[in-house]
Amino acid sequence: MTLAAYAESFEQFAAGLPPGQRAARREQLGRFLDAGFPTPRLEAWHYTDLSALGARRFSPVDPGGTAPAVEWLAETDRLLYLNGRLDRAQSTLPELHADDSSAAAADDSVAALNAAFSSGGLHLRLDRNQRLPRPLHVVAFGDTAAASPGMVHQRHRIELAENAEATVVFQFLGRSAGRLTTQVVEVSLAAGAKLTLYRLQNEHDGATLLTRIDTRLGRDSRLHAVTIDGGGGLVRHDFNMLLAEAGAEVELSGLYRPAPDAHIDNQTRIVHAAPHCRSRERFKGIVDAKARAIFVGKVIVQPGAQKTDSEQHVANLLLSRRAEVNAKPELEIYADDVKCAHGATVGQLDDSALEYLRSRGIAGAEARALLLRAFGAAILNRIAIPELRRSLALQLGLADEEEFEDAAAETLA
Amino acid sequence: MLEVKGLHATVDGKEILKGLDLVVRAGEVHAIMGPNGSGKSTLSHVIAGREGYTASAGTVLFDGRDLLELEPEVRACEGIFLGFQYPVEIPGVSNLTLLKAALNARRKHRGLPEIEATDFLAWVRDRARLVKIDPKMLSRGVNEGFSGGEKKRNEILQMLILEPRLMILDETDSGLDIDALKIVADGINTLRSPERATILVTHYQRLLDYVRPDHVHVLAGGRIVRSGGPELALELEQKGYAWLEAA
Amino acid sequence: MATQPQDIQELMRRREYSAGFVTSIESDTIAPGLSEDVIRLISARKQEPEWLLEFRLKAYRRWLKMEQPKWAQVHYPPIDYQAISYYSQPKSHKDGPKSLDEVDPKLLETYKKLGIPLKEQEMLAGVAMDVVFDSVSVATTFKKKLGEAGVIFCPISEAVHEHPDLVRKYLGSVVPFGDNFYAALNSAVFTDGSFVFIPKGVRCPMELSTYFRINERNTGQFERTLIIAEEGAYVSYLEGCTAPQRDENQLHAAVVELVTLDDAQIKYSTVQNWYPGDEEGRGGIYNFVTKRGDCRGRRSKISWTQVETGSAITWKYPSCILRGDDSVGEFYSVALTHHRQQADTGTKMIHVGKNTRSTIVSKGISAGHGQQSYRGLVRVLESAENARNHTQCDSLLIGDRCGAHTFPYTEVRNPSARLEHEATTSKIAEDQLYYCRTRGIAEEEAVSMIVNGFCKDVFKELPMEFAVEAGKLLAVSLEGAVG
Repeated sequence: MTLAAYAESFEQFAAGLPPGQRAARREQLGRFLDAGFPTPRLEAWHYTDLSALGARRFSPVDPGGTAPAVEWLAETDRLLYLNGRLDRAQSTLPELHADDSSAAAADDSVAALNAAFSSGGLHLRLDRNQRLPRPLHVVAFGDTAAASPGMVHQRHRIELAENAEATVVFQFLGRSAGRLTTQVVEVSLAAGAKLTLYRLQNEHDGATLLTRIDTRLGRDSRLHAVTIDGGGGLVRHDFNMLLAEAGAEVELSGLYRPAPDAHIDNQTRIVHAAPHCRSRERFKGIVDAKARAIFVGKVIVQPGAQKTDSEQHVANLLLSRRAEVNAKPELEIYADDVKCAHGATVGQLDDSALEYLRSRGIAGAEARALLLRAFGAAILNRIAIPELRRSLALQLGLADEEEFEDAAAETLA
Repeated sequence: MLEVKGLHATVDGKEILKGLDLVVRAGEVHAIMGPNGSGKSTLSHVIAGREGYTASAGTVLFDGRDLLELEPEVRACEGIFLGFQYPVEIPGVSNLTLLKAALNARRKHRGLPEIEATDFLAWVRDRARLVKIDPKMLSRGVNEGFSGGEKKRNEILQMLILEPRLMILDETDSGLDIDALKIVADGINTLRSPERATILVTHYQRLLDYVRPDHVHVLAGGRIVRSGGPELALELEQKGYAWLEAA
Repeated sequence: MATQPQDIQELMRRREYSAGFVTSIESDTIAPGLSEDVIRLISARKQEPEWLLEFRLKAYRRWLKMEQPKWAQVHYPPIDYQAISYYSQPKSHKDGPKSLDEVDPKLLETYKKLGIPLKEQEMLAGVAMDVVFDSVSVATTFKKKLGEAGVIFCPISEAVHEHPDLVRKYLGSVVPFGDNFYAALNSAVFTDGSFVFIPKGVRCPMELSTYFRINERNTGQFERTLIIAEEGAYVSYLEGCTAPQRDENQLHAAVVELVTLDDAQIKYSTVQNWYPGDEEGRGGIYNFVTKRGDCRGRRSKISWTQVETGSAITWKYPSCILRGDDSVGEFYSVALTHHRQQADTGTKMIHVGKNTRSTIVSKGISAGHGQQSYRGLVRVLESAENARNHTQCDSLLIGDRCGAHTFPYTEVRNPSARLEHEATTSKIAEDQLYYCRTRGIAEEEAVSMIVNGFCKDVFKELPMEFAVEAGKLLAVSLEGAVG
């Protein structure tokens, strides 16, 4: 594997760094160059092969692109990143951006690549009992104008002290093909903290997106996360949730509808390390055309994590002969007093439901669309910002004004 | 037959029974009534030997023997039967399997040989008729997929088959419609005899219309606060329990 | 006083292995070590044809280039393949017994102790049996009656001579010689095993059974079983396994190949009770087995049923390749691990043909320090129109030092497929135990009853007499589990 282009890009990138940071970054780069991009020989990368990226050349700085003409969410604060650089003019809380990225030694090569090239990102730190008054919308907009496509590596940090509360929305909007984006989000929740986190992506279907969210949950803290994939070409998400102290709770929901040629790989790992924790995981996928979708969910119950209560479910609709679904819901249990269940299904739209709709005069594409909407709504409805929910439904081709109005009314009731 | 003296009992470290006295003689039917949380179920489980239900003081004698030091299965073999308020489901283990094992455990305890399969089935069929349970249901898992009423009738069926000497029925009447209640009462009355005794733990007097008690006790705050004849149950029915707590 | 929940483990701790005796019998065992010469020696002793020697040597050369698989959730020190003897046979067997009357009485005694009375059994059980002692088959019963029906049931070493065309046609056609590390090793050194052939339209008139026994120290057992059911044929086959109690680990690396043609059905059941090692994990069999069935014909069916209570380490995935349209694959498994036992077991269902269906029911019980993984793959290829799979995978935990893990892979490439996977993990509920005890049933018996109930869906797939055996075996294995 030739990674020469990355080494060269790094020299160009490092020149722009404060001299004090260069050594640490170079170390991370070394880690990446040693390991190379992961190949399917690694069990964690069984279904996703990144080795083709090794021969590619991405520009480390990409000045191209213009701010998108997007209607921003009302009642929301915002950080806007254009190709990884903060657009201060369009950001309402630019002071939450931090350049520094003193990342610890990365444990996998993609994380090392990210750490080497990181251009920083959100650094949200809430004190005890502090509440973020409005949702924070962090938009990463990608648009390459230059001949050689760019790469963006961002690193966000969220630290909530005791009983702090926040809602953060990470959204990727990509307008051009060929780019490589990586994102690492580190979350730490102290006792009783509550975080609602949405990670939404509507990347260009020729772009590569590799993300990772690492969360440590303290005593009685709550994480409610929703991840929605509507776009992207080659997409891989890693979720690492550590329920480190008693009473912590995580609820993770996901919906993916890959573009016709896209590859979307969701890997979740929930570790119950303390007693009395609870995890709920629910993913749904609509996989059509030549798309390939992967869901690997791992729940690990460590020794001593008694009274663990864990449920995991993934449901896939496989709608085309050339599409492919791979699912692997895993349980690794080292404690005895636990309640764990998981389930996975792969199937099609319910024939009897289609039949029923036909008898009510709703047929063909319309009936299918209706059922698809119902299928997706179970996840979309977990997004508590109605405007956002509606725009996502539109992007995913699952919108139905009335139905979502109703759903919204129900959610608010 | 049963002699409870100054019984204090804790559940999860919390003291529920606070000095309870009760004497039940052979041939008697006792009703124990009282508001929710008064300790009725705790008393049943302390007698049956549930784990975590610890007697911290006092004695429980059964035929003059210290009951508290016996394992629950030994208590059962000695002739104590507890009808559960919430009968447990055991998927995959058929009712017949459970009954046969239970019956044979008892026989072994008494030095008797195991029962012949044909005798066993005939006995079960005969008893199932009394409580109007379709014998086919007995091939299903223990209480698996049974309705609430079916579970309660199944408890009575087990009791009829095992023929205990001391029957403790923990709110067996709750949640039953009038027909099911009559079946349950018939079951209890079938076993009523001078050698046996019954403790009915109940919240309502309804069951007592069909199974007439000799003694009625009111349990409140972990102690028996009043004892009397069947008329006490009627009084409770009219006045409720509030007046007791006020007293 | 009422017992504490931890006591469940106390009861589980002591478990007697009743098949742990050693038969002192003079054996002809070749020196430990593996080389082309050793393979030539094995082949020569068995007077094998040239093609079979070639098959062995090709496998051996491939094996040399392979690595021991590491992906399974099992841990053990590296195996020294040069320390194992690859061939051992009872001395008195050298010229081969012609009938049961010539079988060494000590061997007959061994099987009697194991509850397999070879002689009486001809009359009583109505089950034809092949018996493999260390490396060779020592007795096959009911040959005549089977012969009348056209059924061939004999040691594979005999089949090589008597039915060379059949063996040559099918051997390695389901599990190729280089399939995986242990299959390659087996292909190089296999010594004996059973061969079954059910001709077209024949329903085998009785259950067929093979009993495997490892007796010698430092030997491995590498048996090879091949079962072919021609068009419309049916056979039910059961294997049982035991080994003496020894402090060192012994290797068992078998290969089983099943082939069903149109409308044929093979029901393959295993009751595996190899010596599991002691409480501290000393000794025990390493059971590394490749079992695969090929539903070549339309409407054919292969069912695997296994009850795995023995072995220090179990590594096996009885699989079905559902090639024929409308073919059916089934896998029913009960696996019990306690003390330091480890099991990584499951199945693969590869849907190739149209309307193929598969069912997986896996029940895992872990106690003591037992570690157990279910590893399964359901793959639906593009060609497999209307494929269906249902997977149910339940784990029961006894004690807080054991583990239960589930790794179900689902790979679907056809949009008409419907797959469902469900899994649960739970412990024996305290209230279930208490309920049984208030009915007079002692805790130990209650646990055994609940565990048997948990396994019911699998036991009902076993031939009747073995279902009872399996239930008892489980009860024995659970002795000391609670109390």
